[in-house]
Amino acid sequence: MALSQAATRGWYLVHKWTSLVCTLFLLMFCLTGLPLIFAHEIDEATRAPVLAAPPAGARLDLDKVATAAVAELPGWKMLYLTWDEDKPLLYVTVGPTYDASPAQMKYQLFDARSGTRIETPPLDEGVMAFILDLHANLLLGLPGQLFLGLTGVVFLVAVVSGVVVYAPFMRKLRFGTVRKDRSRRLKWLDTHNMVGIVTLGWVAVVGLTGFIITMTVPITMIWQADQLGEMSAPYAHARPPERLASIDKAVATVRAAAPNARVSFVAWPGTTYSTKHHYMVALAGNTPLTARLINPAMVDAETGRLTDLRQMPLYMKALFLSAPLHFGDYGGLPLKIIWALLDIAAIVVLVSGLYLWLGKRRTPLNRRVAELRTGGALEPAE
Amino acid sequence: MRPEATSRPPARTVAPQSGWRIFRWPIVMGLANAVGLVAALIGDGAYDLVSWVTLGATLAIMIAAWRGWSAG
Repeated sequence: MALSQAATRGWYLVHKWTSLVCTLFLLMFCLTGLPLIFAHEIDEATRAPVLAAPPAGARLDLDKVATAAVAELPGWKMLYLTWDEDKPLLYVTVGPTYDASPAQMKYQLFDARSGTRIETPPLDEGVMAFILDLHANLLLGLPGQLFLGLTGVVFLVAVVSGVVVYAPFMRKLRFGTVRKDRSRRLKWLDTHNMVGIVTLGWVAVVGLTGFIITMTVPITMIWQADQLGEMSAPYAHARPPERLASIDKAVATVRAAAPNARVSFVAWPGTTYSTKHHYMVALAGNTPLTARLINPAMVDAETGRLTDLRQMPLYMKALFLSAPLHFGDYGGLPLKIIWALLDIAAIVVLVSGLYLWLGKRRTPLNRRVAELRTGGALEPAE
Repeated sequence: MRPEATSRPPARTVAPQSGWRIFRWPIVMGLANAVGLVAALIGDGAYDLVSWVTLGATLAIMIAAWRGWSAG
């Protein structure tokens, strides 16, 4: 299955141009991604809220938390209530309307044992929040996120074409060859090929899951139309509830129905993750895998009755599982360190690729293709 | 352009290899990576250890290759 000269040339050009289109974005991903791998550790060290022991007999009342969260924001709505996975902390999200954009939302912290408010610097401000915004959407919100998804697709083409031209280059070379005694260019070329092929699996997974995460909004919209649409069909002629049932009781009802699951978050009626007529209580399991795969329990927001408890469809599971596989935050600190080192290896591939392109820009294409087909035995003229 | 026009064949080159021989080690490493990426998702403790070993091996092989195991 040796590649013909014309095919090598075609794939080489695909690799060159797709790589050039996305290299700067990928460098941005790799550089901003490096601190983001350790976001949790950095947060812990710089802004972890101080948790005082709760007073004896303290009890969490979610209705009081919900009231307190909007008490000083007239007209604002409760949107989400999220439990921290490790600590007794509740993250409360409020917004001016139920369909507020993330930029309009405000975040507050409460003690999950006593329901008292914890004063912290705003969660969506600061250096790390800025780096995350840059990484996820170029500071451009949803359009930026979708655009980065597009560069992700180009990147996957660059990876595939890179693997294709790896074959003719390596035809006469042992796996892992890095020749340092010939020329600087050959050393970089060998390094680019070796590090590229060795990190291929990791890079493909992080790239693909990153792409899936950029599609969060469209994928969630499919779920809304498909599943939420089905669950709100019986309410087609009902008006949205005027007075909401107790959220404390709603969560207790769901806990009684699914005693082994952990309540991950609650979405208020009318938000992205619920219908206009339900609280959505998201249930998670206890392993790293099932902790990410939430199952929605729907509680009628007027009567407080549990009306539906189901699994998420496959496409939502894929979306949820993309997060750990992209961030590397599911195997302790050693995995994060490995993630960071692989990220640096990816930077080596990007920089060496850029060097190879810059170094011989005026070389005729023929000679570059010859370099590829001879495994670097024939180098472009100095 | 004839590919065989190399003046001093270095010792590291080998006879032309099939696609299978070119890709067998990359495939083994890709599979090891897949095992490592999935293991830490399934559970903690020993599962995490499997992921550290398999993904850590990727780094070790990369460093060893760059330092020139194939030079001899």
